Amino acid sequence: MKASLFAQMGYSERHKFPATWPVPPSYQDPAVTMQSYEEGMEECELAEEMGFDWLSFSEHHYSGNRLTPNPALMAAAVAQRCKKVRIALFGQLLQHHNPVRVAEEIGMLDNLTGGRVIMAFLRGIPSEDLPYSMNPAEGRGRLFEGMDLVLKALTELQPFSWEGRYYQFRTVSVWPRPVQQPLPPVIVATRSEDAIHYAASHRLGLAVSYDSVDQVAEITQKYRRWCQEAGWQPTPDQNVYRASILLAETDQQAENRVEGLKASGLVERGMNLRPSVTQAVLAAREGREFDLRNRDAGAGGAAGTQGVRARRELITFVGDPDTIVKKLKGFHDECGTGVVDLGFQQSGMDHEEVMKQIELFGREVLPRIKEF
Amino acid sequence: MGALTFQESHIEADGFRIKYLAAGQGDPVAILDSISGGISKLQDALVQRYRVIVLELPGFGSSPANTKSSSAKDLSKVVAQATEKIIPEKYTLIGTSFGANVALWHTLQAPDQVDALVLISPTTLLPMVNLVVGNPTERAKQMFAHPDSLELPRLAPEIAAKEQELIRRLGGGIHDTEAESRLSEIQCPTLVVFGSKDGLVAAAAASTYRQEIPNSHVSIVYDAGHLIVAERPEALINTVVDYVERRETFVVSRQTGVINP
Repeated sequence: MKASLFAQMGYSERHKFPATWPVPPSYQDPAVTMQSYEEGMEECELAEEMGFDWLSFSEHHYSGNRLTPNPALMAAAVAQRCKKVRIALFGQLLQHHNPVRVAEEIGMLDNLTGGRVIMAFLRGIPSEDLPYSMNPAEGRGRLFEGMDLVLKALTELQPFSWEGRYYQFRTVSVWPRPVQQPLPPVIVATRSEDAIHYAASHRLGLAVSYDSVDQVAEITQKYRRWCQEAGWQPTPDQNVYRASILLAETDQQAENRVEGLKASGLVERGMNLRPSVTQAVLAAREGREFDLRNRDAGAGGAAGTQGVRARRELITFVGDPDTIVKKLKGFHDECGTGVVDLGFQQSGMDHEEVMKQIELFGREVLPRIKEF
Repeated sequence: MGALTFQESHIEADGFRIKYLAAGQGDPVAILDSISGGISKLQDALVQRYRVIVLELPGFGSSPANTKSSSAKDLSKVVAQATEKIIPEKYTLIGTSFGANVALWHTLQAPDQVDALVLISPTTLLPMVNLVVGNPTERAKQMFAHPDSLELPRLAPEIAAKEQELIRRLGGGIHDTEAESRLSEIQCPTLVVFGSKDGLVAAAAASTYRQEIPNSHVSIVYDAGHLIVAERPEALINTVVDYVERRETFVVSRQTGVINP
């Protein structure tokens, strides 16, 4: 099993955020932002030094929990300091973007990194449907068409035009071509059946985030079955699991730390939409009308996303190295997980604590999971 | 509809009595349809601005079986004789599927007649399977990206069988190396259109047309199979009508980004 550091690049004073999303820019001090990027990149450098295989970068907007609205830009900066580790864009919220531009960014990044890019596409949590005024009902269609177009744009050697449902480009001729031919590895991050089927039928990898081992096993079994029906078998690198982690020297220390974070109310701040808006986004995604007048709009807070997160633990992996190894072995054996992508930055933790955990993971966990 | 209603006529050419439909006014556009009724939506859109002439290729549709022609190249000579009589000036030529193969050869054989060329799903290069084989269900799987979600065009079994046999005999399922070697001779503006899920032609074919034909453009219609007009008619019509009007300059966008002026 390989390990990836989810380079969250959180604003270091994120514990001061209000509970709701979006977080007003007034909470941000540019000096702290610059320091936060520096600390995040130090965490990436340490992860590479400790033997992590990938660094991953996600796309999140309007909150400093992840200071990466453009993951490709962040990845390009980190890749100049981390020269060997693979760079995973995990991922770009493709439905919001010009797919040709995304293809160009991937082409650039693969060249700037000497062919180390892994690309992934996903829809994201409900709040991510809002920043660029996309109708959530069209998100899935835009994502599927966008993926087809990115793959075509990165592999086609002659200029072409694209007559899509959501995109029309009369001239597409992407430079630079990726170093990795015919394509850098592509992963679809999803638990939706249609997207799992897309990954299987297009011979792409699959990533699942934060769910329990039983839930992930159900998804990956389906994926592997459909891959088999499509006439191929995914490699371990095409089975990715993203999770959060709190690692300590002992299980007791880890549990105590989680309880402390819960008691302080510092976890998951700046992530939650107003409940009525979350419900409206989810309704739109499913093609339903949302009748605000017959619902309690609520006053903000975490209630709106409870349904989305009810099946998740607040932090996925909690424990000492032995416990973490055992849990990761479970994902490897039950789900076929080949790469685990771990976020160490919990709200309420400082840079020093994150660095200690990355070091401990690299020293005590990584050598053992690489044996899987 | 007056002049916009298609009138049926016949013309004698090379021993064939060829049915054709004509309507509209303006610059002439000739259409070679090898899929009976398949592109009526396209011709209906074009007739709003152009004089449209739709030729029924000998052996296709309601015409008698064609046992005389031996290839797409051979059939294109018949087309040249027919169009010379009914369209005196140069015209835009559009062909679909095997009709596109004939249109390509017609352009090579009679370059002075063709002002611009539109090839929709041509099978001249890299056909992957024999055209139109098997029962209607199997045929639909070959022709469409989403055969289960469509009301399929109805084609009488005897006509389907006749066309299938003719296309097979004329080499519709075989890579045409002679045509490929002469693509660079085509000097008129050329648009080549494929569905992104065309199951009959390898995707690499589109690149070859683009590479070899000097003033050419390849357009990919997303989420459509071989018979694009059945699955993404608006996208096909938008592309083709715009190209017929503006040729290679159709790459210059006319879309507005204004939401509230």
